[in-house]
Amino acid sequence: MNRRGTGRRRNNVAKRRPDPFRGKDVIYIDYKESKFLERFTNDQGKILPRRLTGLSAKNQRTVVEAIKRARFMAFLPFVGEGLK
Amino acid sequence: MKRFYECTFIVNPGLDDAQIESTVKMAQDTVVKNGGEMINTEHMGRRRLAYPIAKKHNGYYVTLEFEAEGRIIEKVERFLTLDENVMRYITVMLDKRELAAKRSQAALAIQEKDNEQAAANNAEKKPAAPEAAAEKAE
Repeated sequence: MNRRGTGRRRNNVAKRRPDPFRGKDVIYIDYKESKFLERFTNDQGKILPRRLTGLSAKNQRTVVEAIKRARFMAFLPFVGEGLK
Repeated sequence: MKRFYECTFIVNPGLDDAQIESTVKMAQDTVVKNGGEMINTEHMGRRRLAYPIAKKHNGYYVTLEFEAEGRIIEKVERFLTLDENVMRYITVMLDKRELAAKRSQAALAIQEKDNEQAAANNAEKKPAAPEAAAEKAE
């Protein structure tokens, strides 16, 4: 499962970060906090996979849901800066 | 069964404040008239949209928090659809746990602000408490 130290890092892909909510049971993530949710997207506005966010499966689902709501309400872009 | 809902919508920012206020007022009235209970209204105000909606780049964000039967959501959303000044809306139901988490997050945010200001935080904590108590009582 440990993918670090395999040498090549893909272009611009952030390294796996430690679970920001480690040990905490995340119950609710507000879709209105766009600054916070941005941390879980890349500069194209794509949602980062679990292997990069370091979140537990449950927490990742919570974050994903919040990001999708945030996109609908134009707090976050569907397509980020990179491609416009 | 009454549940807690949070409805955020975007109003046309080109309107003057009085017009926006009247739209918000009408939305609140829709909730109350249908047997809901308004808990809080939060104006996030004018904000830049992440992408244009209806050829507009800004929006005026308002969040209504209320407690109501699920069937009134339909009516509130119908009002928001029919109002031309509302560009978009979303309604989210929060269960007890989520609500508590949201409240504690809000409390944390307030605390942070207070730390920054190094001001008396007791005054700000108190307004949140009666609401939480009201939730439990229900």
